[in-house]
Amino acid sequence: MNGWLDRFFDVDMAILKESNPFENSVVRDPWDDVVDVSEINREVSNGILEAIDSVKKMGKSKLLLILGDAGIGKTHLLARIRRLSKKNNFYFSYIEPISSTEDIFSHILKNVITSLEKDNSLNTFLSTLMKKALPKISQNIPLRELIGKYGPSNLADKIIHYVFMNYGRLPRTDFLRVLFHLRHSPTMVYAIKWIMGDELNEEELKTLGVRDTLRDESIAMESLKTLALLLDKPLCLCFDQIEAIYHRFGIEGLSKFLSILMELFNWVSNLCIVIMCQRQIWIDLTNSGELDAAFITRLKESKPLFMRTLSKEESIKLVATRMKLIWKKYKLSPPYPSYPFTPEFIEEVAGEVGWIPRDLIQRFKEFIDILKKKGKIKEIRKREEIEEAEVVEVNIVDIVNEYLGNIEKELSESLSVKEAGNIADQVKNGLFDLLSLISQEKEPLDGLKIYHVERSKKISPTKTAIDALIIIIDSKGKQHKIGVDINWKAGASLSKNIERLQGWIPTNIDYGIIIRIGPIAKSIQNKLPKLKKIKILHVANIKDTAKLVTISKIFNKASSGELTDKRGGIIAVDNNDFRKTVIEYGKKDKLISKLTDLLTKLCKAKTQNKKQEETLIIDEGWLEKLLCKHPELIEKGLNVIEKQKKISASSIDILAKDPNNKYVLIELKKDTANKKALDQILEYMNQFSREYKVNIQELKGIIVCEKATSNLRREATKYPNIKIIERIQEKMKTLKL
Amino acid sequence: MSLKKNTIDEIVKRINALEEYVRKEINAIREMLLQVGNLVVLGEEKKLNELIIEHLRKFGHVSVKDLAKALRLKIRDIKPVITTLYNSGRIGIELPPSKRRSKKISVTGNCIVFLRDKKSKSLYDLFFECYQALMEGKFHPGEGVELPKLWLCVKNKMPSLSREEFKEFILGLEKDRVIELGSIVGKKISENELVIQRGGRTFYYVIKR
Repeated sequence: MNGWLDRFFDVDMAILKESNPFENSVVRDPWDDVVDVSEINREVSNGILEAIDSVKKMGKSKLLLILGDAGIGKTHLLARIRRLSKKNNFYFSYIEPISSTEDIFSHILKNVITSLEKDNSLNTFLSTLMKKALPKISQNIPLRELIGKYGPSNLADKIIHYVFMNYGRLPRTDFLRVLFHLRHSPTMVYAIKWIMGDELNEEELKTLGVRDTLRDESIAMESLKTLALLLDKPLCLCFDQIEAIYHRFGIEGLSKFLSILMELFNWVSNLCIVIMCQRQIWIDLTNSGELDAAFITRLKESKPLFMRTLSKEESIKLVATRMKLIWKKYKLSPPYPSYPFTPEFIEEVAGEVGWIPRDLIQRFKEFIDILKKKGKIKEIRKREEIEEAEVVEVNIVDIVNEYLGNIEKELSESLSVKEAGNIADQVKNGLFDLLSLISQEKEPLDGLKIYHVERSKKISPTKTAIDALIIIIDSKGKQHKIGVDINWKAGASLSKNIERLQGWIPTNIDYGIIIRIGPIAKSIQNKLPKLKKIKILHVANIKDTAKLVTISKIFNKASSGELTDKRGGIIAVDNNDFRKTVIEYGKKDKLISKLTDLLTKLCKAKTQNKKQEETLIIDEGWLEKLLCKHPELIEKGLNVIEKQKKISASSIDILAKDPNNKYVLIELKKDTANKKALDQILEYMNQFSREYKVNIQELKGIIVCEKATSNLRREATKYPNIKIIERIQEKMKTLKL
Repeated sequence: MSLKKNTIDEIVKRINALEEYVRKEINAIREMLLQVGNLVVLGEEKKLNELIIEHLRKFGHVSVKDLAKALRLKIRDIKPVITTLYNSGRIGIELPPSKRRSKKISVTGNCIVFLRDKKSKSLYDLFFECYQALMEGKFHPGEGVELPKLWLCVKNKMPSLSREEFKEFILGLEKDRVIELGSIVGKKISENELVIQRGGRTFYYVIKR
């Protein structure tokens, strides 16, 4: 054979011999090693880099919103930004989806430290600070050695002195001591516990040299502010999979999360906050009117960046770059870079998959597999020259199980005690994701119908929220309200959890369950038998909870459109097969079986007790949600238009239209309604008629309450277009739950 | 000797002539095959006049030259069909500027043809008119426009347009990378809403590139 043919032969052989270059099409997190084509969405990555540059120049924080559809490469883009961080002189942080809307700052702080550790940037930061503050002693001596020699607290004190002289008073300089202890083996455990928000005893706090534990959000916020101010380069905070927050906490939770980000933006400088979200979720959110107006204005100023689908040239480049992995390995020169796929063929296939990079890679993976199976490589010019991959019936159950198995396998290899705090976050997410999925099932679980699961539920305006509120209906149709807290902190915090839940029983909840990850102190173990209405589920080994972490991860995937079948079809969170498969998988978890056992015992015990007055309605918000779902309870043929409709300075609980197309304004009262409710609805009707230029006679007002005072009933008779609906709880029980 | 040379020259000349003849015939056959192929590819049952109307429906005003190119045919092949369509009143012809005006219309490559009924002349224009109208008040151009809304808007202005024709038109624009389609995850779509389902995804937004 002549040289050219030899080479040609080698190229074909290499494709057959080498593993499929299109194998990995999904980027799990920004630390994944990815094959990147810098031309794709270059304007978006340039936009982020420009924003970071502006932070460098002005010192003022920037907020960027990146929008794009599923599979378009949002996480891939983050991986690119992370890679560019060293070259472009900034620190990169990746913030995982939150598990509670109550400790967002602490969650961000935890994730920032974890990211800086992963990138070895924490060392760089502390060394740079050392060199600036103590140039004489820190020259050419590694940081750990210095800390070992002088002690972390001593060194930190010297730095704090330098910081005070150069930066003035910073909100939380003692946080610096924690960072130095992170580099000191004997005290590292305390530093990790502090960052994870665990309780520390006085002695441990003294060792670390900090005033307090990370017990509330202001401490986390101040620590973040201190860190950002001291960093020698801007900190890029990347929030990915915002849609997971939307699916878990609803639009209210997402609004709260975004308002916290606004606070961060306003109060902390030297940050570039990058928020990544699906286009559709973002549009729904902005149209709902529930987003903070200030936040919208701020985003309008910063102009969101939209990620685009591929152009013809980019599609060709994407395939060629993957094929290059083979050419590079064997130092081959193919007839053209995308060989054996001609540019025309790539364009044709790109059109078929809607120009979405992930789907294009998946399709080419199939093509290479087909060629390999045949054992012969041929040039493909047109779509009809290659047969379709074997049409395997898409079985979502198998696919979801495969994903679950893979994630669990990966987790069992990577779970470490060091990441306990982060894992506990995911355990919490996984547990409530599972319970939320179960609540959507019609069939009861072990004789109990989990009717409603609400996360980060604030049941008292003055107190912090419980992790979740579960409403259960037993086989006799009785409702039980159960508060669930997850605790992974050591020592005293468990007794705080108990105190907290006890404070809510019996007014707000019937029972409390604390899920404890990690050991239980002996002092508390002795108290446990005395607790009647609060039970503790004990999970001693973190690995036992791998299943729940897996559920949390698959839920994230499904909510961001990353869970796909073999042909790129998206399996979304609301897919029935997805839900059933995950529930089946979750039921096998020991924690879940323990939890359902416990719930059954508690609920049965209550049923046997003497009859109690049942109060299903906890707050107006929940009542509002239920009535929006079942407006027929108020009046037949009612069509809900909007809840919390804003008019002037106030808002109407529910705005609806009746079958005659007349506007109906509904005011909700969970308990007794008095004349004030009538004044309120009249005021709303007046304002509404003015703002929307509707004749007030054309409007209808309805007060929905448990009981109306006689005064209200008497006064209401004067207004023919106002109606009072009482005993709403009783009506709600008629619903087929 | 010279006789032999002359004979050989003659043979070469005849072979050349034959080759030229054969090439011409081959070209003619190839063109005929192309025409047939085109018709087959574009739909066996579709006649040339339907193909022309379909194309004009998509692109509005088109020159005869471009039309022939798009259909991969010669101008002379489509000329009689265009004349028939013109005589039947289905299409209109704009003549290129000329000093002499004859009453009789003769179809040339520079003539502009368009559909007489409202339906197709402006689908392309109407589409972007609706797109612009729906974009007003949007947060950012990258948000795009909801496909069901766009369909209702275009349909209002062009009642004779079918859902399938509109979908085809959209896919044509996407293929030419004039627009891109945005997908949705887990959002409930009512049966009446026009969306594009492809490869397990639901495409709900149209974004101008």
